[in-house]
Amino acid sequence: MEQILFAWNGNPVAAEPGDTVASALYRSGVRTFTYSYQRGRPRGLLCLTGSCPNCMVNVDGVPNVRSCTLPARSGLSVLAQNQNVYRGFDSPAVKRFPAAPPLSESAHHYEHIYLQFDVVVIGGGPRGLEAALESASRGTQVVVLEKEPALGGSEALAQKVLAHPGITTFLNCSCFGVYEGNLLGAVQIDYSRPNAETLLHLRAGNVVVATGAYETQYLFANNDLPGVMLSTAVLRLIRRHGIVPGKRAVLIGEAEQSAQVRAELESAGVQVVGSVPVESVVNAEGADHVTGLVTDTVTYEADLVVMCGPLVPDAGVVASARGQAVTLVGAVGGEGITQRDYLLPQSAQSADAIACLCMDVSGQDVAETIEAGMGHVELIKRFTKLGKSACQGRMCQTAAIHLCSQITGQTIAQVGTTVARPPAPPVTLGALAGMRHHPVRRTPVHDQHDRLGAVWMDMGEWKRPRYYGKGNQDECVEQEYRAVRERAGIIDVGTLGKIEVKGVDAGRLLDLVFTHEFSTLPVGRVRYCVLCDELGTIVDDGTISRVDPQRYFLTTTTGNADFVHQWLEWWTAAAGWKVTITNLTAGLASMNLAGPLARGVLQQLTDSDLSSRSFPYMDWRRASVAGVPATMMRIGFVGEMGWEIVVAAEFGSHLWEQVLRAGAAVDLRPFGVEAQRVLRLEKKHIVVGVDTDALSNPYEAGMGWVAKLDKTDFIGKVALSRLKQSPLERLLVGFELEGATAPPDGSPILVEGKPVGWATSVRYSWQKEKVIGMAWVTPAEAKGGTGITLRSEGVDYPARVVEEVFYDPAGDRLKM
Amino acid sequence: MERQSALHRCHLKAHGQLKNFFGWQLPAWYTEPHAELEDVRASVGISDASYLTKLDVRGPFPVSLPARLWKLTPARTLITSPLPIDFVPTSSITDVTSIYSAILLAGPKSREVLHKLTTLNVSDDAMPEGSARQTRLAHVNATILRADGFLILNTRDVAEHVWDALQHAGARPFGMAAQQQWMGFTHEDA
Amino acid sequence: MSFLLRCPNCGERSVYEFRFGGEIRKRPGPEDGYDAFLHYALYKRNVAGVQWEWWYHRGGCGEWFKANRNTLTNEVNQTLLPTDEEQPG
Repeated sequence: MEQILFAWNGNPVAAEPGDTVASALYRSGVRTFTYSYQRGRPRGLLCLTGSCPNCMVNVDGVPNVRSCTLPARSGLSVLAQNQNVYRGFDSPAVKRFPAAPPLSESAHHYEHIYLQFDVVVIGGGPRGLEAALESASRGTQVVVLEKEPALGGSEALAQKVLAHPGITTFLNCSCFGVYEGNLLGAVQIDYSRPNAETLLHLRAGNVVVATGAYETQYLFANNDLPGVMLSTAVLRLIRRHGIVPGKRAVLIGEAEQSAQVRAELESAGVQVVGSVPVESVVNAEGADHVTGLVTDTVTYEADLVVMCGPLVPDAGVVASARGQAVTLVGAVGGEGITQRDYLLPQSAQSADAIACLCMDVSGQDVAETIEAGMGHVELIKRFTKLGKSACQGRMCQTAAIHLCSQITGQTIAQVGTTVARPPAPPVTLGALAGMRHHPVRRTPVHDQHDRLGAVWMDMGEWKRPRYYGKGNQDECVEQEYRAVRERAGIIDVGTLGKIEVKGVDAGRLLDLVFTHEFSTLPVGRVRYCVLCDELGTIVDDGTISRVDPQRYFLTTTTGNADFVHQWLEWWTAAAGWKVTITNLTAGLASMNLAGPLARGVLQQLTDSDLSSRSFPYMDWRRASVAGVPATMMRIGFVGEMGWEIVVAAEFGSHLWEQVLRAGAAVDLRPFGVEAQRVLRLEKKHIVVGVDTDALSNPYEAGMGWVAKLDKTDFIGKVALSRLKQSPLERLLVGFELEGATAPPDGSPILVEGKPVGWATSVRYSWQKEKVIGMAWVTPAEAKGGTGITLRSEGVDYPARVVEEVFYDPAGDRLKM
Repeated sequence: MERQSALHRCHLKAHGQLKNFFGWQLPAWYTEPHAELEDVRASVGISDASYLTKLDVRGPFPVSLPARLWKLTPARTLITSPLPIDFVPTSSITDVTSIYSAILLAGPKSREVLHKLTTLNVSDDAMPEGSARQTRLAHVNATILRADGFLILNTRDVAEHVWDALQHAGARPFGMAAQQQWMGFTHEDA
Repeated sequence: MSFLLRCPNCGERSVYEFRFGGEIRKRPGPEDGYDAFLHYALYKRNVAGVQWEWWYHRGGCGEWFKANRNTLTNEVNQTLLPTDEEQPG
């Protein structure tokens, strides 16, 4: 059998099969496992069930790992750590382990699984297993969640459950909460690998809670010394790991419970020198480790003090279920737990009686808080921090409640408990995050862009080429820009929404939802469209083409395709109209071919007559392009002659290649989003969401013409009618800078030092050889020639307002 | 003109042997067809079935074989077929072949893969053979059809993302040769 | 929040498959006047209790439906399609 060897602070430690890191360390003589949060008090093993904070270590760079539940494995690098250290708050006089290494990205594997079961049994002890078998015998699908590596109960019972076809068992799996709709969260840890956790999302028909009860500590001076342990821990060391926990032991607790513990200790070879009731305890003695126990009659010399503490039902998960019905089975429901008084010895209120081990809150702290008027459990918790850390109240809540009762005179029932919230036990963020496979949306031409050296940008979930090429961004963008202005360029617009609206009520629907009129749009024509909300705010823009009398083709901005689709569906459903709406976005490849030489390029690929006489600006038609069925729209976002060519997605790559080949002779270039932004800015074409915000209406954006107020009704009509009559409070204007450096989009606009608006888009224009942009200003600044100032990072950029469109104001280039 | 599937890049990356199937460029195999088929029979695999014709129908529609009808809602039916379907375009029929990619997830461990990616109940009872469900899978919308395994339809823009997610969840790609063996039919112009 | 909602088409699903569409209200017509419009655009009843509301199955069938839900407990009493025979008042 290969020996298990791991490193403890750089030194090798041998472990036996079945050891946890904590038991192996204890076996090798380690007694101080950590130093406490505020006062630097030495702490040792206490519970050995993962219910206290004392055994936390740093494993392979990951901090706060409970060594008492981590099976020892060869190759682990374990470092001692201080408890919940906040660097910078250490007192130099306080003993500490060296600071932990900084957090780094470590190997991990996080998985999520989603399951549904008729019955979920939380806790695989004998009572839980019986409940599982009983349910399964009635034909229901059952799952058992057990946090330990093996099921409880007898070997026979465990085997019966594991073999049952109707029962699924998850070991090393803790349920951390029951949420609305009987959704349970649980984490299963794979200890054979670092940071390997599976998060289970379980929908349950019925929930059975069989989590049992945990043992909690007593409150007396120096109760936190290493060597003072709970009986559960001592028995685990003996039974599971064959470790003799000490030489001379004193037991604290009620006679019945401690008698059984005494018997086991003596069989293991420990000399039990005393067994005392808790009310007689004065303090534990010792510096780094317990050397004795002082009672009101005698002092015992001992290297082990065993607290036979009260059992507390592990009912946190019940509380988290917030009123949803769960079934309690076993000790969690109080079964087998005899009610007894939790007695506080005299020293319970001393400064060295540690009530909250995680936050170093003493009995004195709690007493002073109550005496200051905060005698309510929720106030005690918030003022002292008691119960707010790793053990989530397990070691401290009982003592605090009884102190509160003792001092205020309230009954235990009146004192109550703090509100329990999930997750309990704690969950790592990694487990909650899972594998983080975020969706990525790609157009049908994506691969072509890669081959052309695209530098990618994210637009929501979509990937778009920002520009192409290896060089400096500005230089690459300038090349693309010049290609479009002087020759021809092609851009993939496959990310923009494309929606088909057809049916007998299609025209009616569009007239209602958009600000202009579309039921009168002739077949084969395209119109710019704007969608407003009821308050007249611009929500989206795009184009609408009439394909045939009852069929329209819509384009939307990239981010809004889903919204526009939902919005159209809603108005259709509400009105009961007959319209079929289909989101075609992913099914189409669409690209914009633009530039003074675009016609020559496109004519090589189609027999369709592209002359202005036959195919005027804002026409739509079907044609065969590059040998595949296509539709074309003659539109001009970038201000040059151009066509948007749309084909089925499966032909997109082919079409792109053909356009590039046809354009090679005139040095046609692919252009990306950045070049497009400059080109359209020179035409003062807005980008919704960049140049407009959550309050912009068409009038202040200089687009009042999009609202056809003589329509009977449309979304936003009432508001827009009012807005048309009212003076504008702000306007979107163009501007030019005096200098050659462009401050960023969003820079504030100042006049005589006072902010009057902000610049929405700012770019260098190679046409004007100046920096240009658009900005929101008040009416006082809107006149051409007015001086304004942009400011960014403390630098002022003088500018002047420009009323004309920067490039081709008459629009002749579009209609060539 | 050969059509390119949304998973084309994935096939290239996995060294798929591309050939013409039903007018589409698809991988006949990635490693070896018999080994791929055995893998699916023993464990779980994914295969590109984007070539399927898909029609979205709202209302009655006379169908010629071979085609399968999938009821999505009381008013909406999805029709799939390995061959083209002739129909007269009306406002109640939409050809959605180009919109959706289709990935066949097959093999005895298919459900284990699905459990990692969707909250949908995919048990035999909840999702019998011939049923269709629209839901979320790997954080995107999906239509899942239960036949010869699970046919997962997604809009083309997220097909690659879903293929990657299915692989991460344990499924391995298998080509058209193995796919046709699995589905029990052969194709002439391979 | 993790309650289940029964889509009339798809059956019971997690609430995260859906998008909430607001209280069901009658939209005033152009003849109802400016005050009625303002009230509709800017105010909500915001009921603490049972109400009828719109939901959209964005992660499923992509259809809008109506639900009767208790906003305090998230119990959903009934769901129906706009095309169903019985409609809420």
